[in-house]
Amino acid sequence: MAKILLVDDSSFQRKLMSKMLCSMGHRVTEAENGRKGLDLVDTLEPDMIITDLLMPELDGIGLLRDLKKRDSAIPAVVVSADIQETTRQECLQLGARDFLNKPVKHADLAATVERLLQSIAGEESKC
Amino acid sequence: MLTREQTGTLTEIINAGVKKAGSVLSELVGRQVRMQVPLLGVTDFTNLHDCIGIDNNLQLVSVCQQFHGTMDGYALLLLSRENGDALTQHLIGEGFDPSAMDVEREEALREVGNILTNSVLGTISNTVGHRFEYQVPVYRQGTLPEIIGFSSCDASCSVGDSHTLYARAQFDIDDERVVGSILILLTSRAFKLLIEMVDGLRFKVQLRQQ
Repeated sequence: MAKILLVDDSSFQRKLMSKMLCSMGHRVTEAENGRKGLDLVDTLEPDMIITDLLMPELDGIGLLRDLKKRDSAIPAVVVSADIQETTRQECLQLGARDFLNKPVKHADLAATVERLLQSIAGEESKC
Repeated sequence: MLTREQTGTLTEIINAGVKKAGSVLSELVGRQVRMQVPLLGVTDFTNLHDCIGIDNNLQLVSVCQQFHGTMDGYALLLLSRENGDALTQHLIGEGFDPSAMDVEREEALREVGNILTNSVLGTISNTVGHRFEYQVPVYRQGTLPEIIGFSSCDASCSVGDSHTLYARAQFDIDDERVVGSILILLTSRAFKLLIEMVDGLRFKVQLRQQ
């Protein structure tokens, strides 16, 4: 079971994705924008962050930039309605470990989360 | 005025975006969605309601997705209140009560509007190689003139100085018909730029074919 921080301004999307992640056995904490998400990064110490891009106060790009500035090792996955290839590239350059398009499929989300958790476990065992 | 070739290329791009929107809608509602070939065109604001067949007094629900950068404008998903309720019912399921749940309707439609307008704008972006800088989508209710007026004001887009690309899409979710319109309003400058990009694209295709 992993601690996952889910950042999205849409309560509709948070509800959908929380349900999926909980059914995979993970513990989900929700935040409604990047600013609140960053505050929770310090207190929650999540294993993974799943973030939307377009949000008020601080958007997903801002969140990724801040995580990069902090040299954070927490893997971040972007889940966005934005299908522009340039947006995907920008997120990956800012350190996002994967980019999924909305509506996210249960199987795709499960595969991404599983793959990243395994890679974290692999990185930790090397230390 | 657009040439026949420019209209054809633009129609092809927007058609691809609307088809993508249809397939995304099917994933969202978890049901089979059959899409009717949409009505596509370019007009100015004064003729818009005739082109998309929406009465100026009809109460609508809408989601507005603004974009800025070298191309300014916004995309709109427009549905009659009745079709908005039908779509929300499909998204939320049995628990949806149209009379009581304005917040739930707004949240669900804002998200589906965001996804559908992004399908069309993203397809244009990926095809012509221009990046749209999006703003947070906004949900609105009202008549067509009210919605266009508010959205144009927010996007600093004068209706007298704008072009509208419109797509009237008809989705059949299982056996229930949901009719919606996706509009893209561009400033004249942005429209000119888009047409230049479309011309560039046609030129590249012609070169590859030679």
